[in-house]
Parts: sequence; C-alpha cells; structure tokens
Amino acid sequence: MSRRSVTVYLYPEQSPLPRLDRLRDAAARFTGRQTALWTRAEYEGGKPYFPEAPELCFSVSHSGDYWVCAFSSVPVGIDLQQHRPCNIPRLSQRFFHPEEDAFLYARGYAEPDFFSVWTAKESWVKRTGTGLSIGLDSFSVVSPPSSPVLQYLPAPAGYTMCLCTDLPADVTVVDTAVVPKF
Amino acid sequence: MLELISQIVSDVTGRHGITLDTDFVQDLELNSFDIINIVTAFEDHFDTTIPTRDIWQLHRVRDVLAYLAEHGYREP
Repeated sequence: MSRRSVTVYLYPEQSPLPRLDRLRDAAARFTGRQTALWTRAEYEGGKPYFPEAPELCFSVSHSGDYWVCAFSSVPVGIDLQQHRPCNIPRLSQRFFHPEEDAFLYARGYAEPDFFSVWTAKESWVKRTGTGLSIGLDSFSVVSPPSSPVLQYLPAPAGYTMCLCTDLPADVTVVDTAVVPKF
Repeated sequence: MLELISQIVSDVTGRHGITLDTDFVQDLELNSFDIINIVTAFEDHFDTTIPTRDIWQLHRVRDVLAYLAEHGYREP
C-alpha cells in the first residue's frame, strides 16, 4: 500500500496574519508557488478548495489558541480541539454512535478519550466533505474499517489533534512560529 | 429571548456581545464543538431535542430565535 504525504501547519490564533492569509502562507510553503492572490471557495457540504489550484487538498481547524491546516495531494481531514469543560456523558449519548458511547462509558467517560473520539469524527467528516449534517451518530470511529486511516498527531498540552486520510500517510507537522518561511 | 440566548452562549463559550445578526461561526469564530455544546445547553433549557439536520442551519442568532418561535418554544 503506497503512502501519501501530508504536511500540517500550526499557527497561533493570535497570529498577525488573517486566517485567509495563513491559508495562503501554508499553501505557499507546501507548493512553493506564489499564492498571495489565491481565493478560498467551498464545495457543497463546506469542503474548502482553491479555485486557482483545485487539485490541492487541504483541511482547516481551529480551537483555543491555535489554528491548523493540513495539505496533501489526496483528500485529507484534520481536527484540533482544546479540552474545554463540557458534559461528556450528555454529548456522547446525544451525538455519538452507540458503539462509541459504550466505549466511552466503559472508560468512565474520561476526558482524553472523549476528545480522541470527537477529533477522529470531525477529521473523518472533513475528509469526506459531507459536513456534519450527515449525523455524527451515523458512523463509528471505535472500530472503523481499514479505510479511512485515523492518526493522532502531537498537539499542544490540553489539546487533541487527529488527521484522517484515505491511505496511510507520512505526516510532517510544521510549527510556523518556529519554522520560518523561505 | 435574546437575553437568554446571549446568556447561554456566554456561559458555554465565554463570548459576549450577541446581537440578532451575530453569526456563530463568522463573528464569534465558534467551531463545531462549541456549537454542539450550545445546542445541548438549549436542549437542556427547553427540555427538547433539536434534530441534527436543523442544527447546522442555525447560522445566526436570528435563525435561532426564528426556529424557537416556529417550534413554539418559550422560556420555561
């Protein structure tokens, strides 16, 4: 099975760059092209794309103090979520697949497990581009089929980040606050 | 009812300054997790369940007010 390449760019939410410029900046880093005038559009369902480079696949997420985007040549979905206070049993029973709720119940509705399931589901939906209206309880990430592939990525303390791709992928995470643009 | 919505949004997300035209995603920069957290707070307050297909159609505060009025929800 061939492996694909995905690069994830992490920005501070308080970056002086507006969000669209962060996306252009990441696209420039990934492609080596001039992207300053690229525009952002969305397919039906909300999946974003660049009309100037529709072959380029990317996904965006933001939470708390961070904003991230993942770029690849194949469909990709990413979700970053800060561990915020919430009624975990309520949300799990209300929105998740029964298998996922049973999994979380068995583990005492622990916060890290809840956010692992949440970010997996969000990244899954973003990869497909169907949007959340399909219903988060319509599929399970607890015992998913071999495709898509879910990978948890290193995230800042108090956050969980998950990447979803069709096939296993080699992932590079770039902290743009540390790695300058060349 | 606007005050109630403002209070729930503030309690759940810490965001203030809600008006009728406030867009939850564009103006408050909320993400999906924030939205479902707010929805469950609404559901608990009104002792009801909002169908999932309806949740993602409620973009602005005025959409929520219209939805509540249309479905006969009143402050308990």
